[in-house]
Amino acid sequence: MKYKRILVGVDGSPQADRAFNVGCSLAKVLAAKLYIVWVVNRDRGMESSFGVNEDFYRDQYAQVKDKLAPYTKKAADQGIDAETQALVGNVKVLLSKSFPAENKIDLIILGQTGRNVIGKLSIGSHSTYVLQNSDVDVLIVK
Amino acid sequence: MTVFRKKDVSELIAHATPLKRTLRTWDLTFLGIGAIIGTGIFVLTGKGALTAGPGLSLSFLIAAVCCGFAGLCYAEFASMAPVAGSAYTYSYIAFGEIVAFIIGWDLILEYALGAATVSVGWSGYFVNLLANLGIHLPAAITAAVGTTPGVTSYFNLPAFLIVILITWIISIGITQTKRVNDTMVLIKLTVIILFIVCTVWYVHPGNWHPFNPYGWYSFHNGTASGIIPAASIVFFSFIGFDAVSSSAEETINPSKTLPRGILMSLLISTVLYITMTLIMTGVVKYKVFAKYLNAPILAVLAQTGQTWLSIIVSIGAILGMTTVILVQLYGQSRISYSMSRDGLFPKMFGEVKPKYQTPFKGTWFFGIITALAAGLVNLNILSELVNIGTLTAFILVSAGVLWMRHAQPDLHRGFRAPGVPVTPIVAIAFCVMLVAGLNWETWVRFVVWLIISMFIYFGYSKRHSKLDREGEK
Repeated sequence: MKYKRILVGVDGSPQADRAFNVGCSLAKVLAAKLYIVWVVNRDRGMESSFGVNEDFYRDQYAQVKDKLAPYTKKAADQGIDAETQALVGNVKVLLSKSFPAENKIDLIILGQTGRNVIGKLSIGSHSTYVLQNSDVDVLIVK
Repeated sequence: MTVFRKKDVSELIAHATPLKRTLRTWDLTFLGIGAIIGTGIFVLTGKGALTAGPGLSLSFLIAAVCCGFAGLCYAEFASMAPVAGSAYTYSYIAFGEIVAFIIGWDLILEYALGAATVSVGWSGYFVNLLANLGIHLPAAITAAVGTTPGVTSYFNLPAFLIVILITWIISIGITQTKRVNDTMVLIKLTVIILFIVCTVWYVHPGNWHPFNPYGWYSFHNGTASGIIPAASIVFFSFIGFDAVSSSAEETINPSKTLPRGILMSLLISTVLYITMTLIMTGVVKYKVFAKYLNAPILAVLAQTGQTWLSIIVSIGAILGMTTVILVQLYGQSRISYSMSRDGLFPKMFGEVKPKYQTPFKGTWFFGIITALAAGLVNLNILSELVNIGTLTAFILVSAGVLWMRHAQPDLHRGFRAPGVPVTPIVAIAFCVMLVAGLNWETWVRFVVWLIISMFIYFGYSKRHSKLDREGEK
């Protein structure tokens, strides 16, 4: 088994950056394509009247696009065939199901999310969710 | 006129994020029902029944018709550019800055006071639940001054605390997921159907006479009474129905699906509301609700003696309302974020805290104000203000659809409202009628609110607006 298309999720946290580094070295060794994805979490459960949340998501999206530039550069510097994408949507569903399905991903690399106890209780860790629900292999970087 | 300076549509399109068309009629219906059902029926039926008697059932119908027309207009408004932004951003394009400011200011009123209103109802059911468990809170700290006639109360502590708690949750970036939301919708529907099935047997048709004690519109003890004023009050029960309207860009074949989704979700929730109202006013005489203003459903269950059901209903209502407060406060922080980003509000409200990815300070600022309003202000005043703010926003939106059809007929529209110009005119007429049904004190409070907004606009926003600075370059 050789991984051809690797997805790494980033969010600016140190854990995610470690996951990114692991992703880079694996992609290099395996000559795989690396998909670097940053998701702006948007929950259908929080829709409010008059669409007031939209502007916020849109701004976050624009900022995330800028923040992805250094990752693109780092990957390119190492000679990796990489693609960066900013996405808006439910972070768990996107990373575990839709993005891997659409891009034929065979390995997902994520950092252990740095949520505190309350965050874990109410929304659960993203990485745990992906680990349990994804159809392809998942590597969690500590 | 610089106050009417406008944002350009093409500039907004440049920042668009593509959305996928995945929603069908039933997705929209479920989305709409989820957004509509729950809060109004748990909180405002008491006040509505006092205003119109059993005729309140007709009030729900009028409010639903108003929402149907306004919903169609809003759907076109929200789909006007290929980006589904907020009503505030769109009015910036359609009418210019000052109207956008007024809409934003209205929405702040809707969200802040909407959250406060719901938290007062939350507190009503919470106090009852504690009482059923044998814990009795002193009446002085469970309601605002003058809520229940003959009971001395000062501060609604449970309402205050729940708003603070939820503000904290939002400020550190926790949102409820779609799955939680769907579960809540099911819980709310189950509670309502359970209530209908268990209490319909206790209806005494004698309680329905007189069916319509105050006519369509009359004055009774100095307050507007009758079916139309009650419709103005229970309009609150439908707030959130426009969740369907703003999904035009994600809907498959929106020109057919969207009106169906709006119609179906309004129809189903109205049938449920009317059934519940008839049962409630059939089991107890409508005047009894005066003692149960914050938690009207409990008046019925006290009459039938079903304590077990009252515990279930209370838990369902508390869970459902918690998520509604969450969504309202979330919307609150986001609308103030947008206004701050455009320079109409101080920078503080638009600062996003990197650690949590939330507008932290703005969330807390309005959260604390909302909590104080929930603790100190009587439900009567709160709910009417929410309605007048929302109705005004719908009037502006419907007028916007009319105006844009005239001014920019060729602009891309993801969804075209059927029957223009009749639909927006009917929507405006209904909204004006419902505004007219509110008490004059509410108009005065609203006008004061608007005057404050003009002071802020001309004193601060006009000079700090991003468009102003671009103009100087």
